[in-house]
Amino acid sequence: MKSWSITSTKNLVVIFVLLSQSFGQKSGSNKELPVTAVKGESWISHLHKKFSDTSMGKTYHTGPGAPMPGEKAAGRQENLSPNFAARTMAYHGSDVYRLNCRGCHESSGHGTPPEINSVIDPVRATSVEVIMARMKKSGMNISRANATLLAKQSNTALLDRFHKGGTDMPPFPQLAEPEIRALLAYLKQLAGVPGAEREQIAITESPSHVGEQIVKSTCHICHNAVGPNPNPQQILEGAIPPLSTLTTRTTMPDFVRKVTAGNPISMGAAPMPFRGRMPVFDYLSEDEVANAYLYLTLYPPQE
Amino acid sequence: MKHNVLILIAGVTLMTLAASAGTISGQVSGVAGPSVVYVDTISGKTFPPSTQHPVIDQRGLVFQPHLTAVQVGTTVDFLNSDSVAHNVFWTSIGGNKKLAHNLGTWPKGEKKSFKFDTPGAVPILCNVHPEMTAYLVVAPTPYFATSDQTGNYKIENVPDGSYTVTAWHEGAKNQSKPVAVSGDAKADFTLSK
Repeated sequence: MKSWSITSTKNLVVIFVLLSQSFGQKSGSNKELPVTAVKGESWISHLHKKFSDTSMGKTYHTGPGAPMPGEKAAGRQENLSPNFAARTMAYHGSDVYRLNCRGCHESSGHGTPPEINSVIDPVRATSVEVIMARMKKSGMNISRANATLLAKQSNTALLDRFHKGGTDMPPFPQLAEPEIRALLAYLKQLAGVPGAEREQIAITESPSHVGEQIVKSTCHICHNAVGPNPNPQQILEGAIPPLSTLTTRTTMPDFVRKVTAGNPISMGAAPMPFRGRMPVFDYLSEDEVANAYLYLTLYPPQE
Repeated sequence: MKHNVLILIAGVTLMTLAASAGTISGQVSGVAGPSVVYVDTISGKTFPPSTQHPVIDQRGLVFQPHLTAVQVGTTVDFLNSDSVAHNVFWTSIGGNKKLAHNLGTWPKGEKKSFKFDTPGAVPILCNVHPEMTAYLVVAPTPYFATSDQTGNYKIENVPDGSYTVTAWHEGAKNQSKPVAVSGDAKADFTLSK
């Protein structure tokens, strides 16, 4: 109990900050979903899409090239927060969007039509004010009651989309109600719904649930949950290592580096380091990606 | 002998039919793209319900076709072929806001049907995608036609008689004129927005 006296001031500050955040803003209820292992084939395998033929999960950043023969790879110091695996994250809907949606719909929400549709119009369609203003502008005024009905139906369709997915979009059962509400609030802000910036909702996230969201919503778009560990030649031919192999293929620092900044990978029958095909997710923090690694360790991917 | 009589009867019947019905044709100018031309309500005359069952599809975030004309009493199927949810609503029929209707929002592969019992133009909208529009023109008689891109139209099998014929075009004012049909008749329209 000696450590308590040393760190007590710091802990109290953290607790105070967390409390003030939860009281200072609208806070989601803390009803949490249990964290579960990622399962089954990747979303692009499910859709029978080839990695090279889709924009899903692509950021179009690929990180640095491999060093030339004889050159040493640039050193890089990871910058994880102390105690990152035990810290609760104070998040908003913008973070839920980042962890779950941005890999396909991009930071703007516009996606890459026609394969990935924009979220903007379906979100604007949930606002009574937006509908009424739009109809007035087009000279076809409608009553508030009718606009409310339209907005409600659009809201139901949007929630259905999160829960059930669509033909091309996966469902998101890993998101709990508070996350969905925070996400909806952020989507409205992204879509320019008037006043949405005042409606943002603060939520708290456990480290393993942060890792779970990244893995299920972003990594699992292209990486199958389980399968054989591909050799460098198979990687060259296009194999994507399953999630179950990543914690043995890489160390946590290498994993964090690969995801957030890019890191060369061995490819070919006579293995050589190459830049690789994996996109770089520079919008994820190192702590978040380290939590994805821990999540994959604590909840091993399943068939 | 019997045979010849039958042919004679058939021939006379055909000639009688040909003499009692004609076409109304002409051109709609002043506007770009297809227009709808129809014979207005004929007092004292009713028509058997239409057997048409046209489809207005939502595909690639566009209503297809953009313009549909039907006889009053026709049921139209609204289909969603996109992988996203669509909505269908209209704010009026023939300018009458009391006939505003919201068919709802539904996912891919499903359709909703609606029977249009009031004549008039219906602007079809999708609340989810505000750039989507289509027009349905509900004609009061079975005598109507959609023109080609340059405005040429032809309404066939119109019985001889005197009618009011109306031309409709998206965003333009309707124009009506009297037309006497005795055999083939001509009617040109110049519309303005």
